Amino acid sequence: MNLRDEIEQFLYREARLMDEHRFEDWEALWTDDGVYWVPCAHDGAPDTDVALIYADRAALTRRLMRMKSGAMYIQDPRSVLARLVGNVEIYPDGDAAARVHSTFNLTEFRRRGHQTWLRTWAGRSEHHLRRVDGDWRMAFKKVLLVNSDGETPALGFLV
Amino acid sequence: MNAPVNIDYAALIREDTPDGFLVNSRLYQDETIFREEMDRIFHRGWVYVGHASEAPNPGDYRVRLIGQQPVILVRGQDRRIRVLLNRCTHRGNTLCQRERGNSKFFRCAYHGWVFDNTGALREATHPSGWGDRPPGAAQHLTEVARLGEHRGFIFASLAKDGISFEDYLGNAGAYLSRYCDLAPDGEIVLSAGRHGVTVDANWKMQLENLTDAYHAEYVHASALAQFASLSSTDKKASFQERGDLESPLAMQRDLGGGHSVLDSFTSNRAQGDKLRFTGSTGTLLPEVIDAVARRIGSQEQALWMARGGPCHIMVFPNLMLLWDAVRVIQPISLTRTHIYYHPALLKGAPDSVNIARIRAQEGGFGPAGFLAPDDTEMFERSQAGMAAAPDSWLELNRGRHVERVEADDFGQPVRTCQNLDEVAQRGIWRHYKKIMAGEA
Repeated sequence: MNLRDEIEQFLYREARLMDEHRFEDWEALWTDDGVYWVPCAHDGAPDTDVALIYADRAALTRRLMRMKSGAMYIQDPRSVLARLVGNVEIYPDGDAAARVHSTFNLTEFRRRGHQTWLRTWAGRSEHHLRRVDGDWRMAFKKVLLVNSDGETPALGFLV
Repeated sequence: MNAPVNIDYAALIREDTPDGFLVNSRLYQDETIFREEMDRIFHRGWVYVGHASEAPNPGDYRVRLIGQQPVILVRGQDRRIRVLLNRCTHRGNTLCQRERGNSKFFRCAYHGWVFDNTGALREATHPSGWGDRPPGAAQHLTEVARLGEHRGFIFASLAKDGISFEDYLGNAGAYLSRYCDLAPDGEIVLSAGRHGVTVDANWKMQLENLTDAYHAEYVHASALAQFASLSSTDKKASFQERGDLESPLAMQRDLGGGHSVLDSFTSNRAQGDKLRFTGSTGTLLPEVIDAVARRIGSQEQALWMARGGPCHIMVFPNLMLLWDAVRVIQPISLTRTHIYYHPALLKGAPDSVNIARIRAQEGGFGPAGFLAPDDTEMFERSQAGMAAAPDSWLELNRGRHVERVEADDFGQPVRTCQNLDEVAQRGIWRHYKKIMAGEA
């Protein structure tokens, strides 16, 4: 595969793992020093501005353990998700690293008792990918939700 | 015209029945009641609007709501903080469209009127058209009738008359002060932005929840398991094993005026430096305690305060302090509420401490935290469930048989129960009934 095919394939697979709540498979996409950042203010910095999520690998593991626990009530029952990933821009940094920009549009269906919702989430992602033992891994992922600086419903699934 | 509906609040909040303390679930589900709450609680009473550190420089502003009324919290060129109605005095347009910013002037886009950041009208365009009644001082932006500040927390009342700010804040003031006293410079700073969450539930769900310790081990089980893994000394610590929740030293207090706390000062001190339920990130670090000691002139007092930590503090009707953050309740409609969570940074503390406070806040709260989303999920489930038998009774009887008046950490005599009880919720409703029935 050429680089674009490889990286697009990576992003599509990542999207499917998130859609299907496959937390362990998603976690395996990270490098050991990965950083996952979902800012609130679009011009914010991690040391001075609160984020929705700013997680190093240890914090990410705790987050996923909670999501797997079955006692996370905002995902009981779990949302049904489908997301489109597009507008993929790839900026290689040598043979073993790349910065990738993309856009996603995510539809969420949620049921709670007699209540149901169909919601849309959207945003831009920035991945810093590294080749580890031949496979692409996420060393950094930043997700800017279009509404992260506003009031959002609880976010109990992966973006 | 529909006939006016008279809501009999005394009949909906019944303090002393054979079944105990009863609250009617209609109070969460009636549009008339919501409108009357906005009028009597938010538009006539004292409401938290923002913190001085959110507008540190001249021209800094934040757009907020008092109840349903849009306001601008702004520091003028004269360095004074004002809360101005976000309403052009000409034709009523909102003046300020951004949530935050810095500006010397507010210019109405509709007809070009310009106000400075003290609210004074500086230009009414096309001056020849006003005849002998040119706009002037009477067209300055309207300031809220009364402003009160306590340790940087800014409150406003839209009503000229009514209870004084000091009497309103009452016993809660000492708790806000203690929260700030734990910072090296004795101040907190809300410069790190905020989380905003929208919840499909009535605003009083959050009002009642902040000082409800009873739900924690159930709603937050999945989060507590992960927090426990953070503690190197106590890997399997749970609420029960740490003894925080059931400790006879952990108190729930009705401070009067609708304010309430989970008072864990004494139970925290009994634990020394261990992980604690109502802790505060960084305030037990020696360099922070030493800095507090230098400020107040007593190492012993500084250590005693730090070991006590802060409390869960609910200031009626909309300000909350919990762990590392200041929270705000913003009613939007009967069944929609916004909740904001601002990390409270400790002024004078090392950057590493304040970064850790931001990370701790993210871990627990906001839309993607480990704790708050499960709370808001419960609010929404309560709202949904109450649609069944909408005119029936909720019981608030925990600890009613042991409720007593005792002195708190500041020597204030307040109604008290054990941590897991419901004296705080009874206190909220007692006060609510007084206001809504026009007795306060």
